[in-house]
Amino acid sequence: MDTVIAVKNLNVWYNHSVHAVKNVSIDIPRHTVVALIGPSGCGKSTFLRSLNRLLDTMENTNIEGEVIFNGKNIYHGDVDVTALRKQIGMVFQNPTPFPKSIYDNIAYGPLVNNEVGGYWGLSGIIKKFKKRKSASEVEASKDKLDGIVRESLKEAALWGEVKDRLFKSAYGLSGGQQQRLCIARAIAVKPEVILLDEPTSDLDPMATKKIEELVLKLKDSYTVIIVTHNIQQASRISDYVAFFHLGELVEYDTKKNIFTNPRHQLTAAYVKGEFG
Amino acid sequence: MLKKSETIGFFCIKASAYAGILLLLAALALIGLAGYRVISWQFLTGLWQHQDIAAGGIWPAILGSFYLGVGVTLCSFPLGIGAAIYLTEYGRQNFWRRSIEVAIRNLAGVPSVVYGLFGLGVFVYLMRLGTSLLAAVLTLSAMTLPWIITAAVEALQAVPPALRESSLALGATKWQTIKQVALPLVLPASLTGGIVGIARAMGETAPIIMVGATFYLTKLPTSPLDKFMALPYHSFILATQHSDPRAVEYASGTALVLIVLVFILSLGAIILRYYFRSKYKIQ
Ligand SMILES: Nc1ncnc2c1ncn2[C@@H]1O[C@H](COP(=O)(O)OP(=O)(O)O)[C@@H](O)[C@H]1O
Ligand SMILES: [Mg+2]
Repeated sequence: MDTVIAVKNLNVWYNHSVHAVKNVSIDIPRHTVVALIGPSGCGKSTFLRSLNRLLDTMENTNIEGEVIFNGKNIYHGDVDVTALRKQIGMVFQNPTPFPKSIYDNIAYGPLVNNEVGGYWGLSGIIKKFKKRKSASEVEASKDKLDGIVRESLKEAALWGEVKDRLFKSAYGLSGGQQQRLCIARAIAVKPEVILLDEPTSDLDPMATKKIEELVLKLKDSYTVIIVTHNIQQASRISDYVAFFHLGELVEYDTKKNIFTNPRHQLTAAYVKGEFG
Repeated sequence: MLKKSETIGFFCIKASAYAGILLLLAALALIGLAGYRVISWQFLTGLWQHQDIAAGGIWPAILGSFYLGVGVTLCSFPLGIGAAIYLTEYGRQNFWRRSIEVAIRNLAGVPSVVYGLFGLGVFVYLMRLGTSLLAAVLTLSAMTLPWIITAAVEALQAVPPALRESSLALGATKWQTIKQVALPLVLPASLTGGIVGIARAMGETAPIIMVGATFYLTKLPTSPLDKFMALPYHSFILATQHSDPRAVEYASGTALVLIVLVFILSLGAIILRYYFRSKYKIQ
């Protein structure tokens, strides 16, 4: 089995007191969907945010243990954190479009990572002046950034819905569209892993369904780690399920085993919906 | 059905709201009535004639106040937003940071005379700028800074954390995140708060007398180191020091022009805010 992320004895404390993640070890296989489930407050988000080093942006957090991504510990001193975050994308519970157009939201990642000249390179400035293109112009464009925007939106199954308003505010989209825009934005920098933290908990069933279909498709190109409080959702879209409780990883197994033949009493009770 | 005590309470709140508006309208009407007759093309564009106040105009004072407003805006907005960014984004949350914030909040309430003395000591004498437009701009900027910093700090803190994290999660640096994601939201918001400070500064008399405003100039200022005339001081002198019987009327006319100038400035801020909001696609 090809492991993309291997977590070894990970511990996280908040404010030197709250032990939010307790000695968690887990191997994430490449090109799978891994669902993290467990009652709220059990450390799922904290664990997820330790995988792209978003945790260290907060003061008073202590992290111990190793997160081996493609064979290298991401907490090693010489790791370039911005480069790492480009490889491990993340989407949050509430949709978080930037105060920019739909096009600029997608273009943001490639631009800040200097893949297409950056914001202040000459080409970036020139683009600013001549970018109000029509859908068909972007469709046919040979420009690298246009191509990234187009392909990312298509991959996130959003192109058809937004192609005629690419240069309008992203805030004009519905909640479900905004969330797919955030996924498209994450895809635009070609990550290897995508972290999703309860991406559908604010969405209606139809929008949720679209995201779930998208996640299943994403598996071909990326590895997806998704936190969900919805057990049915985990059973619909995941290959592996990790059950957390009070900061500990109680059980981690294939979806089939977790749902039909769990080893732990607690897991059985949780997936039956006896507590949550 | 409202309870009786609620009805009374509600009436009081409503009454105080109307009282506030009425007071404002009354002040405007009073100044307007007292001063509208002196407003003429000559009054607005002519040079001041000290001997015959009806013969000249207040153009130098309008220009002086305009220079002050623009200078203070150019000086205090970048500085204030920069300071706010440093405080909220890069300063560590500790005793010093909290002390600085408390100090800034209190500075907004310091009497303007104190800023005048500060400007006189530091800009006029220590930095050898003399009594000049530049010294006045710097003095009033120091006075306006706390307002802008406070407004910008609040706006920065109101940026949703998940928005910043989304930017960081895409591989953006902290600075890119501030510039591209936070500032588009912060600029329009701090503009609204900051304009109050600038309007206040433009209406000040005491500090600018100390650092460079004069009542009577024979020529318009041509360099930042020249002395200048300003509307509030002009109005003050006319109302209290001039012997001409028509002086009070001219003082009111001057005050009216000042109010309109501040109003135009606020309108400019609203337009600018609208521009930012549409430029950055904030609905
Ligand atoms: N910024 C924080 N500061 C202090 N404690 C926190 C912080 N974030 C989360 N916690 C605590 O850490 C524990 C795990 O939280 P979290 O990872 O958000 O759980 P979950 O995502 O599973 O609901 C909870 O007890 C929560 O109260
Ligand atoms: Mg959570």
